[in-house]
Amino acid sequence: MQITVNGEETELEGEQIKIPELLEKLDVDMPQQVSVELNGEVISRSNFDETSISDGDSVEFLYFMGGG
Amino acid sequence: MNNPDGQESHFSPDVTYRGKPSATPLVEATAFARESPEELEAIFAGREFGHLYSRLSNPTLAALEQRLTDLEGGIGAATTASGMAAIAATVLTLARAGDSIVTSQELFGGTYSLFSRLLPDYGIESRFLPVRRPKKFSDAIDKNTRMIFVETISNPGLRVADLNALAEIASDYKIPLVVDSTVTTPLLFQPAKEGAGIVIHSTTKFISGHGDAVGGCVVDCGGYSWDKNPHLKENYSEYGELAFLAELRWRGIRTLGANQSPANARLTLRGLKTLGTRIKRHCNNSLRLAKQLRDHPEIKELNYPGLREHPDHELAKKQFNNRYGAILTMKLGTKEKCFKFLNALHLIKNMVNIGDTCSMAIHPASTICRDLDPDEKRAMGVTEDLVRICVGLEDYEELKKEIVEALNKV
Repeated sequence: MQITVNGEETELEGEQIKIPELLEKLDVDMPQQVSVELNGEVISRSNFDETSISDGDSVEFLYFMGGG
Repeated sequence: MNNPDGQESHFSPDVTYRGKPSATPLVEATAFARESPEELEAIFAGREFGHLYSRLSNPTLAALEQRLTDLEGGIGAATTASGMAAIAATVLTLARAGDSIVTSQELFGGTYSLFSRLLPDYGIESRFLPVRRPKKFSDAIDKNTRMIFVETISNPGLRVADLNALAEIASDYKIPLVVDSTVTTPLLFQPAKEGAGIVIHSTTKFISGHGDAVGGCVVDCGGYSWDKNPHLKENYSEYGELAFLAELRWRGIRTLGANQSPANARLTLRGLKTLGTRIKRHCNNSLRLAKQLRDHPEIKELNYPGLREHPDHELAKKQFNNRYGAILTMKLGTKEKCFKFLNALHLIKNMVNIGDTCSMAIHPASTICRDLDPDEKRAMGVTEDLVRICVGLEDYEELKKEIVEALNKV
């Protein structure tokens, strides 16, 4: 499947992937401090385990540490 | 060969570890170089994670924040320069001019000064209530109230907050319960389990535990939905559950500059390794002393939540895992007698702190509560004849001998 991650086209194996697996597969830094937006909507952390990402989805990772 | 006169100012050799270090490394760097302006832009925009500047974040601070998050069972934490910085940053994140907070009247003197003297200058009103009257908290909340604040065991008043009852009230009014758990630590109590929204510690005290590192922390327990606070709605749409921590970091740490020193975080991480052992000994020494001293003829009143005659004993017993902390207070009749007692101490230090390895004693009315007027002191349970002892890790028999001998000189 092909998804968009932070504006970049990304190719992944399989047809669906849950958010924790995606964070691991993409080796996302400090996963406990990242907010995840799926197709423009912030996903609650308590729903990470049951939220699936599939072909054509757009995912944004956002940290609140930046800047100073 | 490098030119000895030319390169030294740029020379920061990397450390290579072979094996896992037994202690968290101290990263004392002020700033962190990135590969490119694109990378800096991505971090500033929040698209990538990275440390940039130690006022904002730092690897040693991040390690402590993760440890505190795990100990409290929260979703994230921020470290601050002190416990007072943690409380101030929390209030300034949740409330604005025209808002109010509802708080127990039995508070640490510094917290009381912040709420009663400083916050009103910025338009934030504090409503003080007796902590054992939860109904009064309920009555004091209105549409502009942004939080309930209490200490688990008040210092130096030693009243115990009914966290379950207060969490229910906070939930009814859709505001967070903010709990200062400095004197209880996660070993006695994890406020997240009772429904608290935020836990605060002065890590200076029992968390670091050795009297060598001033610091504070704010832990988001994860149970409160921040979209219910009008000031955090926008953040919520961007960061979800992390909205509060994002705003707290921007206001309290990045903008007000109340960050913790990485060196202090490193010492605090070292102290945490012995938290369980230390707290058990603090509590055991305190309970034994309280039981030993309760009938001493020079003591008019001995106050310790572990004694069955303490008004909050049953609640403390239920909430705090059969441990009652390391602070006890006693009334000796007059201020003069208190000073005679304090002057007769040798092992126990005249020192304004709690949670160190050594025992210490003070006269609260002339020190940590000096700024308060008589009515405020009375509401907090601070009288002119009160001595506070924070019991350390010394041998119990030596402590008992020291206190009894000093009392006999009164």
